[in-house]
Amino acid sequence: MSFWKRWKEKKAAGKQREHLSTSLESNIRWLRSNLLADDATIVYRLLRTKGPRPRDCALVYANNMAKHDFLSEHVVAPLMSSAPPKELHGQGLLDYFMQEAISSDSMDTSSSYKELAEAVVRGTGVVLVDGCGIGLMVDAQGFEKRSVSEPQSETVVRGPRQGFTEDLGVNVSLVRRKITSPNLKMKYLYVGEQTRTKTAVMYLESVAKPDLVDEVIQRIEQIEMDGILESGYIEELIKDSPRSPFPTIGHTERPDTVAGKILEGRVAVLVDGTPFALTMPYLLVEAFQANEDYYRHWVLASFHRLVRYISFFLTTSTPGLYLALVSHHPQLLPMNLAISIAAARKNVPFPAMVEVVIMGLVFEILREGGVRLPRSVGQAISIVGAIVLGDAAVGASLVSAPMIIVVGLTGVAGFVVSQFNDVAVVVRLGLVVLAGLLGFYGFLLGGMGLMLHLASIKSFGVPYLSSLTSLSVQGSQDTLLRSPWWKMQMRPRHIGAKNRQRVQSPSRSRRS
Amino acid sequence: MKEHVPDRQGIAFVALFILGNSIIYGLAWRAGRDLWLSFLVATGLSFPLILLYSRLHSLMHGQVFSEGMESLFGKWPSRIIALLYSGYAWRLGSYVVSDVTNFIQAVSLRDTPQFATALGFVLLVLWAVKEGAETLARWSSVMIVVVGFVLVFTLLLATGQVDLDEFLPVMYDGFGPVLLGALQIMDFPFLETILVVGSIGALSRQKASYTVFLTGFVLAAFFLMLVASFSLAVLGTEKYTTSYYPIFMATARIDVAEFLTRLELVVGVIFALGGFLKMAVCLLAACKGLAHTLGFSDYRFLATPLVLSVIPGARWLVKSSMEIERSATKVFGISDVLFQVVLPICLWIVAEIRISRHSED
Repeated sequence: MSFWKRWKEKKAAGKQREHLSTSLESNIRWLRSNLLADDATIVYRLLRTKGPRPRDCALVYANNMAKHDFLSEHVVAPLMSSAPPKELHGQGLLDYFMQEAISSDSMDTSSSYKELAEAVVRGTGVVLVDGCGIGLMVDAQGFEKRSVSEPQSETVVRGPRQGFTEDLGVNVSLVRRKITSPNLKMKYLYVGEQTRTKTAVMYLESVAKPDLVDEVIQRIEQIEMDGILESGYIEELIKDSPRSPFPTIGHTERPDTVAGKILEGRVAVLVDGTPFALTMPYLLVEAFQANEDYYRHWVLASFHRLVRYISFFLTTSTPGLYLALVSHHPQLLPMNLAISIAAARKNVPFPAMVEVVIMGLVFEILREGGVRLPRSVGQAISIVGAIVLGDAAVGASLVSAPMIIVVGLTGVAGFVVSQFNDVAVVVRLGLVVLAGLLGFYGFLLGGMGLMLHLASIKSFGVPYLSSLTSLSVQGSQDTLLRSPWWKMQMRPRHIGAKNRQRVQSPSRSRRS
Repeated sequence: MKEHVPDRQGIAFVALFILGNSIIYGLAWRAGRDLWLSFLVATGLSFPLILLYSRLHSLMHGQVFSEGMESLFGKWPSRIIALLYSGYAWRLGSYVVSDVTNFIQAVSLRDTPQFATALGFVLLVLWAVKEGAETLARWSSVMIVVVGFVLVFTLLLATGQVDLDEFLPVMYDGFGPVLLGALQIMDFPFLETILVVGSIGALSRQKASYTVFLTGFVLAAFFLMLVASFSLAVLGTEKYTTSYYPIFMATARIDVAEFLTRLELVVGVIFALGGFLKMAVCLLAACKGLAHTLGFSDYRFLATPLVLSVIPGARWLVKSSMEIERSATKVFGISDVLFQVVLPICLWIVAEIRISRHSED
């Protein structure tokens, strides 16, 4: 007899691997021993209905991933008090539970073990019924979330105080609330073999180029990776020119920025578990644009945008230019300045190049230390940096005073264009080395090389320098300066190519 | 590999190529105070030839360089032509390298060996050649804005130094010097534009070749005339015709309240930008030509040896800046007449005949 039983079980087990059996007991045993084995957080709640013929049911869910009170109130209680008619079984019985017992707005069914197990670990409540080969998935995800607050990396003086959170659903709704149009399309993708991270691709159907959308989706689908923990993974895996330090995919924490980019015809990718959304294609000019530019008067916004370009120039070029002037072309400096710099450098034992590199390194160390340390200790870093390394180093004639000014200017200017903060370090170092070797002409060579590199990279088929190279008034409205809104009637050339007219009847929006 | 250059970027490309290394030299010095007339004459005389170059370029429209050459002139003739022109392009590239390195050594880095500056530039050129014409055109469309802005700004600042009497009397020595000056400018830099035909890829449409070449040419000619006349008006005829780098000397005189001085550095920037582009275009043409001669569709693997060979080439061709000054502003050398005038006209006639025959068939 036991042999017969074992043989039958074995046969059943072989069949059951993919799909549920009709026996509740064996379903639960299978889940416990295979897909959800050795997982202490999984709860199996067995219950029985009322009625002429009570049925055995089981609710399977993951502790702390699903909302307990919701499951007790809307699944457990109605199931226990329901009285399914005698003749119902199989799909009919399940329909009865779905329609008349469980009061949840979002439900789905599946007969696959794998799907059900994945649903359980995602926080869904799965209801299994004896005699039914199909499981019921009740959406009950509920875990601790951070509330919507102003993002720390992108603060504004004027503008919405909303920032993305770690929850994809919340993030999608934040964007949706900005663009309430059925034209806003969305596609969900699951990335990462182990993490199955939910990813949303958002775009405006009437504006975004279809091949761009396809390209983005295709690139994300091709990702082969065990886990996606942050959108940075996706960014690095799908970006163009992966060796370039310049970002060819943008990231932001702000829903208004994402909405603005989507309105121009870009595609946004939101990833579950991170407040950083990706936007693509990403062009050079975008690093110098801030969402606040568009909320303020265009004259002030244009001025601040120019300040950003100048800051980027200063942060990348100041040490290189200083080095070129001091060590190769002192004759180019005005006499008084040349004398005072020479006087300051008189007692310094190192050549200017060594000074520049060491002080640059010290600044980077201070910055990295300030970022990684706990807030309370962070203050110590600035004191050490300012007093010990700045004042004392000059006092001890290890570093000249002009050098401190150069490093300080470089550092402060670097924070103005935050998107290029890391890139600036690389560019700066390259320019310092070239300027040290060939003076001003080395610096110039570096600058030309940088421009050549920028001219050669593309982001999703759009040249990185696009709209800086357009050489036309309409094309360069939103680059070095920001034109007033009533002048900007066209979307950017390469990105909004499908539907370039931003405002359908420009004459109405124009003010006389 | 198909390249695609938008019109405006193409114009910037052509204009910057012509401005290139020529901006610092005393162009048309033989014409003396009448150099502006020389510029007008040279522009007028060069115009039909530039038109012819754009016709040649537009005939190859939509085809890769080697395919276009082959369909126009047949297999072996086109290979020989490509070889000749790639030699010409390589030689010109070498000249530009020595222009740039001589200039830098003369005006600022006295103790730095020319080899070091040449290596710096040539490595950058190598990279640019590997990136191709599309990237270079995009690059020049950014740089032309810088160059244009800086030039206009500098010229405006210098209006105080300008003495318009320097231009008088007009044609005191007759038309001879004017014509000689005009021929100088045509040889260098106007008609060197022929090399752009071989380097730039497909434009947006067939007719675009005319827009790109002619607009770029006229723009550059205008700027060169402005710069040369300005230098002459600031320095006087005597100094203009005898100095190596007149514009450099002229801008050195600018002094706005001791605040804006040493603007000659700016001229150095423009010269380096233009010189770099000119080197890159010459070597791009040389690589493409040689690749076609050898029967390869991609030129990139030839870039490294060909571009690096320019450094010894420059050393071999030019011994000192006195020599380059003489060769840069000579009146039409034999090889230049051949490559800039005779050969293009022959090619054009052959191409037109073949095309009309082809359309009759």
